[in-house]
Amino acid sequence: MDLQSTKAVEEERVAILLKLGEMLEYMKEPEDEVIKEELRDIRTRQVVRETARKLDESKIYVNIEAIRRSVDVTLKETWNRYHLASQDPEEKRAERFEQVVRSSLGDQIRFVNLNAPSTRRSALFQRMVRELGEQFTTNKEFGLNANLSTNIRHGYVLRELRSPLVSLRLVTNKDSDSGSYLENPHWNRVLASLSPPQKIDVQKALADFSEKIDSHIDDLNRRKLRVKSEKSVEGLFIYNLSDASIDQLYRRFSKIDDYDEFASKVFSVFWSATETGLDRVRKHLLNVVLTDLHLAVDELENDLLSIGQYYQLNAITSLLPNAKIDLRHAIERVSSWFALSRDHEYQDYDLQTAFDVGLRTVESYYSDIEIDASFSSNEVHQMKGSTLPFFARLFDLLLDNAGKHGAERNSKLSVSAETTWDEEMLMLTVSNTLKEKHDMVKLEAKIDQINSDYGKEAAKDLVGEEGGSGYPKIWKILRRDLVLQHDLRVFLMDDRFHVEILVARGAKI
Amino acid sequence: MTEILIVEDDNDKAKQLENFAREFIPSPDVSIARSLQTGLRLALSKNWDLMLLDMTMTTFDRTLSDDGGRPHPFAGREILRRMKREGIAIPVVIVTQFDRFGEEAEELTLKQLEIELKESFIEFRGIVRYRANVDEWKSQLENAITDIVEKFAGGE
Repeated sequence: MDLQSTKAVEEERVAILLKLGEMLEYMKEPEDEVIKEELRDIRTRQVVRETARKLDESKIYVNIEAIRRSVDVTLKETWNRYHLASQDPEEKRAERFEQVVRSSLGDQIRFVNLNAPSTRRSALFQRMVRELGEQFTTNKEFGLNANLSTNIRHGYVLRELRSPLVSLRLVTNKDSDSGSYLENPHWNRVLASLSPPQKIDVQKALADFSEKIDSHIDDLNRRKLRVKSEKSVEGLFIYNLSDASIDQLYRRFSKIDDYDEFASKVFSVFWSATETGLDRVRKHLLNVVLTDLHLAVDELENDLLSIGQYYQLNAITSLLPNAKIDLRHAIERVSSWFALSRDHEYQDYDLQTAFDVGLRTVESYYSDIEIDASFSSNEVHQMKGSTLPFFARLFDLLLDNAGKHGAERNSKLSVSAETTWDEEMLMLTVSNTLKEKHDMVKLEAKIDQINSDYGKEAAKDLVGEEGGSGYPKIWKILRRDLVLQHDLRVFLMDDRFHVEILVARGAKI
Repeated sequence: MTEILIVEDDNDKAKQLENFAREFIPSPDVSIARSLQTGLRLALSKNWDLMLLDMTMTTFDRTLSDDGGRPHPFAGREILRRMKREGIAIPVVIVTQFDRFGEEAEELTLKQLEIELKESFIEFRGIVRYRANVDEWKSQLENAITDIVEKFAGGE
């Protein structure tokens, strides 16, 4: 009863193993490899778990530094004109007039100058705030939407919410050719006492369930986890850049005469709006999405019980209470991602740790595939801790691709990663087996397209979108987040799919 | 006050049981434990008037950083055994969503489990089968604890 968590159990185990090691040393016995290996396994599990938790807490961020680097030159020019305009007598008169009227009538009135905008200065202010707002939310590489796409929407939400149902074998995937959901042969075997027509009805009920689940998740990804705009009207991240709201900011910030201070204040307004958006998302997940998913499970239960006798369907209906519990935990986990990124410090690490973190995520998402994974390197090389989140996400993407394209459901996948270091370069190769039934012509065409598009302008537009292979996001992580010169190519060899990344070493790695 | 302990790792079901307790039991003071370990600790901590106990639970509380360990199919029975060893007798009703527990040689049906628990634990009142979208469990649970409700309604 003294042990209150699985972590406490692990620590107790470590203490026992260390004690056993000490005893052997005292008895002048040789070191026991079994003890050493178990200690190593426990420590690796702890590091991987802790790293994964920190990564979950740092999914939401906007790279303000990079945005400032890209816009400051032009914005400073606008700022200078804005600053000069404060000396203009006409401007001063107009602002003084506004101050006097407001002091009598309050802040509820709005000035509209028929020679719009009201003053040149306020127009310049508007332009700068709008530009910073656009960059904050929709900068293709550094903005909120791009990071939402890379860190959350691209597969993570889908797989996190689906994974409890995948492991219970309650959902299948869509067949890309026919568009209908694949059959679930497991239940045809298990529900042996059902007649053939009843089995067909069970498959239909499961297909309907899969569709409902995917539809709710799709609604979340495509409509809700977005910055609200004309195109994404249901987006839960709302940034009010109306004339009236910018007017209010102008009155608050008009006395600021330093550009850096101005930019910092404006960004703090956007961060505040982001926090409100995050709260909105968390509430939506727990109040709306979870309810919808639970309702889908209830509807599945009703559909199944209408097909046959209770005892005939017990093997599947008995899983549904667990499905609801696990869905709640999955929603809670996804909800925890929607918090402002904390500044975590990561210890220096070797790439195998990043690989293990990525593998852990992928193994949970593809629980119906037996994954045989290996990592090798010509040397153990300590990477700077600050790069860990990015390399973990890189391996996430590479291994997720392997899981998605490398094996059918309920089959085996072999995936391996190899790193080769020399003084100037790091070569990272990830390879995986292919699906038994794959269209070689299509695959080779896809490979040509990936190699041809990688890093090009058109592909960069896809950084903020989902549904593709993830290579634009890999490019973003390496080129923009880590600022690493690199080259990537994909190819087939020995019946395996290979991704080869050549990275120029520098101060970062 | 009627001291009620709910040991249940499913948040939604725990909420339903809490609502039931507040509706049907006089002056309820409800505590909720969410795993075998927490449930055991609370069960041994004082003289409860009633325990509503789940059967299958994780060993530890589930959090974002702890999955609570593998679900223990007979967690509720473990709690009852430990209470018996410590000489603690609390009226207990098992409230479960399952009708089979354990695997292979250990597997028991709901009926078999109920018989075993009735033979082993004096204060065991029975098993109620819970389903989230059907209210039948409420009347079953009410029947199982009629005497407790009357006792506390009478202000004893």
